[in-house]
Amino acid sequence: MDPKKQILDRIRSIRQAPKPYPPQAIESQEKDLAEAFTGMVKLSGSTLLRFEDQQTMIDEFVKAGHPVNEWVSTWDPLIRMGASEAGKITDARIVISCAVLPGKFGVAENGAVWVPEEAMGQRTIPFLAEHLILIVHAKDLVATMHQVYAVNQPGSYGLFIAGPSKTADIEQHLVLGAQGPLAHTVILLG
Amino acid sequence: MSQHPEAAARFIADNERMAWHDRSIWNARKKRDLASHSIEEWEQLRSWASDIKEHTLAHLDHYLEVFEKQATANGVKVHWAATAEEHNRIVLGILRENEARHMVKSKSMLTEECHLNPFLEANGIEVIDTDLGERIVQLREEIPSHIVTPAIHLKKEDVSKLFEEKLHTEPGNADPTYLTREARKHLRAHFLACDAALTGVNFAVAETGTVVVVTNEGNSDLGVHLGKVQIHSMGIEKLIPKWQDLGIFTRLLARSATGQPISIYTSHYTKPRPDVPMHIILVDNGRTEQLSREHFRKSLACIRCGACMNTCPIYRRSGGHSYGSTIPGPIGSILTPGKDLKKYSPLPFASTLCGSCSDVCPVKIDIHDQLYRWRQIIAEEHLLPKYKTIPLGLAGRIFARGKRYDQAGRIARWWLRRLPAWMVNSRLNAWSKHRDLPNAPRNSFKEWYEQNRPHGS
Ligand code: SF4
Repeated sequence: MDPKKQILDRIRSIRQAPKPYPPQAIESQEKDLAEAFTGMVKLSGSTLLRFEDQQTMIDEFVKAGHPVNEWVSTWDPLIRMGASEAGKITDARIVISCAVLPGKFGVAENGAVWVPEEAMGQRTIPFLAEHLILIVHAKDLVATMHQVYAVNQPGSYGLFIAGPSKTADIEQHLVLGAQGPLAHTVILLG
Repeated sequence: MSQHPEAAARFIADNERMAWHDRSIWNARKKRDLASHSIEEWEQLRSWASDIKEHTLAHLDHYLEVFEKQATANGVKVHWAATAEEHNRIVLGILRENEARHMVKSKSMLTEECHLNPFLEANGIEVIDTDLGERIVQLREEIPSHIVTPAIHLKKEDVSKLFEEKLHTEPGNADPTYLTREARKHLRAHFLACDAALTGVNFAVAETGTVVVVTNEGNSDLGVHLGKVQIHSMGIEKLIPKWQDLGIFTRLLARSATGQPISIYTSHYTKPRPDVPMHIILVDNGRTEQLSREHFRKSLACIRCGACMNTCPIYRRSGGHSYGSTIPGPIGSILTPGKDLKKYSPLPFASTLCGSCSDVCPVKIDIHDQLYRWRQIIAEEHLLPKYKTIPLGLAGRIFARGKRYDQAGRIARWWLRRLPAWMVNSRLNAWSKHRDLPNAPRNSFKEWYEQNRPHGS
């Protein structure tokens, strides 16, 4: 018998009272989003840097002598500074020391950043980079997960990233850098 | 028959290890408390989550069809499997079609339940579990002892010895960071060499056809994006109606599981990459049967956070393996008897019915009530394990008659005051292994109440 029909018939043969979908009224808590977000990002073992605007950030990168030309990005200002285009790295064996990607939302309650597929160049980049840097604009901070899901569409693929990859599978000892990035930085602009 | 009492006795024979296991899991419970208390609307979220799950289960046929339609429109191939065997055959079929021989898998209790690994291995496919804890138990040829932290029963020295033998790490080096780095290298090689990836599913959104997978390590994504074909296996109860529902469930899951405000990666797979086929397998394997049992239906709302295990005094002191089931702990003791009541009849008794599990459950499953209900059914069907029938039968007769109950109480209190401790705390009395019996009061509560109750009441 066709398993689909078998499963659906089985379910339909069960008498169940209808149960309404619950009405939800989620209030957005107005508090200092940047402060809450910063605290959460740090709590997850990540670094948070805050700059007034894009130009200040770039000036800072230049001043600090970061090897931007060894980095990978999807963000035009960095590509203009010599970073490789993330979409063009097709060999997964190439070591990516650092990838810089723009995030679309930052969530104050947990420090997570939503990264849509378009911001990755390709889906492997956020996981293969040894150091992942996500850029979030302060105006894109929201209080809770509800606000992201309310306005954001699924697209083809996208995810929340909330820190460096980690594990506590060996005797509950927290180790940063399990399988994905060893380090995680969030840059807050504005 | 699953022998929980015997297996638990073996586990607690190593007193020190048991105490360590108890402590380390209690830690997770404490972290969960901190995380949940930091959210003002926690109880509201639990109510919504519970209602959404109940609503979905009441209209499961509808949501399964909506999901299939939506996922198909997204370019995903959706399969249906009524049994574990069908599921396994579908996976093998997909792998053969794509000429894949090396599959990486990220955590999925469903594939444990279906015994997928041995089936694929017998058919010439190499399967590598990539969650660190799962890789550890796979190398030890064990099953996970916990649904969130599969290797929680092992000490770092155990892992060090295992890795020394299997991955040729430095002898005697039990530093967790060192061991994790070595595992990372080992697993990275498998990711780069894999030609297929399979993951479990935390949530499937009917409205958008999306499957959501949550990890801390990033292993799900590494596999899915590096393989030539991606497969997601899910129980039919993983569905939720709307995209916005994810806001509620993602807020509850990690806080309940590990006390993190959110897991590191919450990945939403909706459409495949160009030229890389994406498959979703919807699996029943006993779920519709559980759905048909009115009193146990709600157990299908489980989001596998593990909080009920972390809080359970029996689980913490007997270890996950003692249950002899894929899903251990309180929720496992409800789900597993549904598959084979006779075999798993001891499991609903592996509980003190203290109710802590129901209190922490993020989707408000009435876990301890359901355990109690299984006990009643087991007793009615005369499937009670022997060690329960004799004392319970006696207790039943005593409780049934008020006089005798009073009498028995008086006698017990008298003996309790007079017997030497070594007799009360004898090896025959399992309860006294780690505790003393209380000093017996002279009067029963009933007698005290008679003497002290306010006049006129
Ligand atoms: S029954 Fe509740 S507490 Fe236990 S694992 Fe499932 S969701 Fe978590």
